[in-house]
Amino acid sequence: MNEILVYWNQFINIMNSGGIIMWVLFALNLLLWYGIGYRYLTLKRGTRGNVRRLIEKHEKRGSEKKYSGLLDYVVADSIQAYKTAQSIGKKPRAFIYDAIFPYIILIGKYSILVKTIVILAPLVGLLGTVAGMIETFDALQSSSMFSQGDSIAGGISKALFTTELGLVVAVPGLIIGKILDKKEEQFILEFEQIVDILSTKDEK
Amino acid sequence: MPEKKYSTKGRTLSALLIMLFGGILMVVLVVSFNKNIEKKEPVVKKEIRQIKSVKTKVTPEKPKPKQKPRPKKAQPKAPLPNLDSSLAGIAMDIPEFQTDNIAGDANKLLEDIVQDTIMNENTVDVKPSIVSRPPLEYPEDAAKNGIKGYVVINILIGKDGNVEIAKVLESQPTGIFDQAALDAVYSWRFSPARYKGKPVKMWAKQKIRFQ
Repeated sequence: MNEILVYWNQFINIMNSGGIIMWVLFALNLLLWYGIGYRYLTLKRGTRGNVRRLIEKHEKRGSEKKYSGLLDYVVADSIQAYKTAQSIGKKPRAFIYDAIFPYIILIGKYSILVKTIVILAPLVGLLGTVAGMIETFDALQSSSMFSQGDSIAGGISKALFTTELGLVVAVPGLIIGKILDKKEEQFILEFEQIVDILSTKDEK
Repeated sequence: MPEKKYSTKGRTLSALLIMLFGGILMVVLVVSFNKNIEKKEPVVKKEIRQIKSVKTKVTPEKPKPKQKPRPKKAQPKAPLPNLDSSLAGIAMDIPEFQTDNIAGDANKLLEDIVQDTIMNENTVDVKPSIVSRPPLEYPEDAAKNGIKGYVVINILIGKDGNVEIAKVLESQPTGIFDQAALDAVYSWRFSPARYKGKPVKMWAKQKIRFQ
């Protein structure tokens, strides 16, 4: 417990030595992880089987089917829309698209946020560095004769903290964000597949 | 309507938990990155290593004369601003400012102060260098028992290069080597520290190692 406190104090010291930009980056980091967390929880496929089999299962079992992920709900909604369209006697394709649309919105939620922060964090870090360097040269100009060396080195190391932090925020965000983007792409493709399978069913 | 509806209930809470994880991850990363830098910082100071020499030997080994440390170049100093010139440049039909009566020449004032001040390593232009350093005596008791240790001494080097005051700051083990080190230090001679070309008094720290 005590060690954690020491660790925390060290962290606070480092953060304060870099100035206000450090705390901005910290807030960005929290936002980023909220976005990543939300997306990770949303983009769970649930089943491993392919889409065609999933539709067959749903049609066979109906409400008895156990729903384990996003794809199950999409298939159920699509089948519902298909049935509605057939009962009116219209083409089902547009109806199914309408049913899927909320899910397309859902899987894209926070993706822009994550991408923006990943790009923004190094830039904000750079901003902090430039601000720090300006301060350093300011101090250099007005410092007394004896402390010049100290003020240069101290100021530069201070300025570089923000760049470091910017990269610390961006790198995990970039990696995990890309994985989640890939998943989202996969989902879009599967939605297309669902639409195609259901709307061409009569033509067989 | 479909049988079941997709709900995002509880997702915000879970996402907040992941956010907490992200925050902790950053804390750990930042602290662990910067820990290593802090460890490197302490600079090792120069030490004298004393070779054990036994008194009773008929032909005592002569300790090798140590190479004189090169006097470090003094850092260039920023010139003091001359108040006269900057004030005289303004042409506004106001009689010229005379700063002579107020404080005199700033440089001269500084020199006056320098004559009596005791400086330290950071403030002098030329650091003192050692001229003669007779070999130390290893205390007999300690030599018999094989005790090793060190003494840190604060030395006041006078304008003529003699050691005026020597004080023991720290010693390990306490008390055993203190007297031997002090006796030795008083017989050392330095070239005095200089500030603006003139010799000044200076406090210097010296670690002496007995082994």
